[in-house]
Amino acid sequence: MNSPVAMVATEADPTPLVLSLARTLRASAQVPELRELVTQTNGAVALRSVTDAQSASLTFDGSSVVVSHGLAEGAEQAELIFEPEYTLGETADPVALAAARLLSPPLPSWRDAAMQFWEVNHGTPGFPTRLVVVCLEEETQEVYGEGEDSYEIHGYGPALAAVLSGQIEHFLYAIAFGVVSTVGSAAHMSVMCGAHWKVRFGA
Amino acid sequence: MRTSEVQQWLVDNGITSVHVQATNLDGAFLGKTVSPDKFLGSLENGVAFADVVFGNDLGNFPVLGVAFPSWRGELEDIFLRPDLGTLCVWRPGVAAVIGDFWTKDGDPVGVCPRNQLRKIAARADELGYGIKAAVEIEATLFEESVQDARAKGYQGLTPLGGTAGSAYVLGKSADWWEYLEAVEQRLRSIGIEWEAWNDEAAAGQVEVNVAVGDVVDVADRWARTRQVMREVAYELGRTVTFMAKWSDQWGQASHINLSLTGGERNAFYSPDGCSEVMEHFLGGVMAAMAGTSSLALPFITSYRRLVQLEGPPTTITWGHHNKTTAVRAITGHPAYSRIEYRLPGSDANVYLVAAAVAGAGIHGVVNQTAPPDPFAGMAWGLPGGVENIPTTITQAAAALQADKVLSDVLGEEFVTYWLGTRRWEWLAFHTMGGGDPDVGLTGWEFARYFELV
Repeated sequence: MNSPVAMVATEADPTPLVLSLARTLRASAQVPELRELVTQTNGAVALRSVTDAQSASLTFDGSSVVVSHGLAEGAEQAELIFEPEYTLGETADPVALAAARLLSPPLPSWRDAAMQFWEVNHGTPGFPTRLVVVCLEEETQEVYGEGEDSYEIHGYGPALAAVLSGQIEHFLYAIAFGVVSTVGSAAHMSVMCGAHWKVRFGA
Repeated sequence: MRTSEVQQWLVDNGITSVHVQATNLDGAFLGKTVSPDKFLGSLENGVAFADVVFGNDLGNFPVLGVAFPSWRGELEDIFLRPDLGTLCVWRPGVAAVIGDFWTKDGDPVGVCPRNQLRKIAARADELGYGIKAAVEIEATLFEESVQDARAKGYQGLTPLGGTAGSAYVLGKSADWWEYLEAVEQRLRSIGIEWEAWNDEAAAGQVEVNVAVGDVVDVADRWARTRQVMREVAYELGRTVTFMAKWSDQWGQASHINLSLTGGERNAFYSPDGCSEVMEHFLGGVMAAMAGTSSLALPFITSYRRLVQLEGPPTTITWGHHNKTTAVRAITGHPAYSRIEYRLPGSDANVYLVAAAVAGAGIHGVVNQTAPPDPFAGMAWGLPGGVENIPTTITQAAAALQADKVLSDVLGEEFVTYWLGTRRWEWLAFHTMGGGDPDVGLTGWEFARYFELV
């Protein structure tokens, strides 16, 4: 059987949506029952965003899935909803139903997401040397790294887990819509957007 | 000029306001209009601008995801220092001057396009060379006013001069002549040297050639000529666009012609073909071409122009007197020996492309880089075996990221920042209304690029 990473492939020169869907599917492939679902699915589904012009197709062959941009010809079409990310519109198509399950993997814990976010990004240009992630309902925090170049991200556990594991198209939106709040500079915010994409796009 | 001399010049010319001018990374012509007193007070330290000059995209959204250089902070100011060699009367009572951006600490802003080109010209000068250039400006004219064009989302417009014909057609209607003669008149009145203008291949398409000169002067002429073409269009109730591709018709380019001089002589000249200097310059240019494509083809739309058999190059090739290759080597003439770099779209920032190409070429001269063999024959429709020019903004960014020469020539700060802006452009297209890349020109592209690139 393929490794979780190898189970999900993308076309060359993928679009942001393709990369993000692939990252989500890879998260599902880490979960045994969802991993099994990939191996039980054959066929294609074409996903059309309900909010903008983005679209992508998932093609299953019984052992792996390929994500490509655009609406695959002949594939069942389904609405792709970004909030909550990712939800599919009403469908009876079995491939679309499988895709819907695979595109909603369980969230990691906020601590695991924060640790992964730090590990992927620390040391990259402009990234703070110290990251503080504050969970509001637990009234606790995790601190990564050290030094005066510090950035704080505050939020409720599920929101932190979602944002730090790559959900939401832009980190800026997560701040603007109050999903998380932050303490830091404009320069930090810019770098955090890049760091979020690095996780979101599976870099 | 001393301050008192500038003051006298303003009085002598009846100047009541001054445009301070520059380009941003995307090539949009930016600036402020300042009073004569404000201008005189800014001669040494410059006119303050928020750092978003290099921080906002063409949709006026902040470019995010990039590491801020030291001169960027919480909307800090940077300063446009006038280059008095560019001071001119823009129109009666209005002066104009082009400047370069400096930090509050007195350092040149590394991502300022004109700073980049001046740096490369200075590097060439240190080595005993001058950089000569000429630029071809292609654009499309429309009958409609810009207000009408906006109301139509810039689509379904009527090319000025009709839709029939070929290239170089002189039998144009009076409205076409009226526009171009007005442009010529404005160029002459400002003192912008030009060489030629003519009808081009696509409907409504024209080409205006600025005169050969020192590379920074020529880039200044390019920026100002495009502004003049816009101003004249708006005054006459017309519209003009420099999008690299605005329809299914032939796209639009900004071919850049470059040569090195050594003293009074053309260092590219050899009676037998390329001089040794030209060979090595070509070696540097060709080695950096894939990476340079990120600058020469800066936008999503830029890549729509790369269509086989339509004029733009599609392969990383050069050839003697061969316009199907990416670089045409014009040789054997004591004055006109040069390269014609045919890759840039009409939407490219000529300061940046000229800096990258000339910088890579000089790197080749210094390191005696051998060029690949010249390509003979037609460089379109090939079965393979020749490297293609990147076909998307992401492929070009990856090529630039992998290029070590351009990092050296343009600086790590510039390359990193530029790559961040191109990633943003890619993301913005896909996630802010553009759509999938293979659906053809989108409304998002017209809205973003039609008036500003």
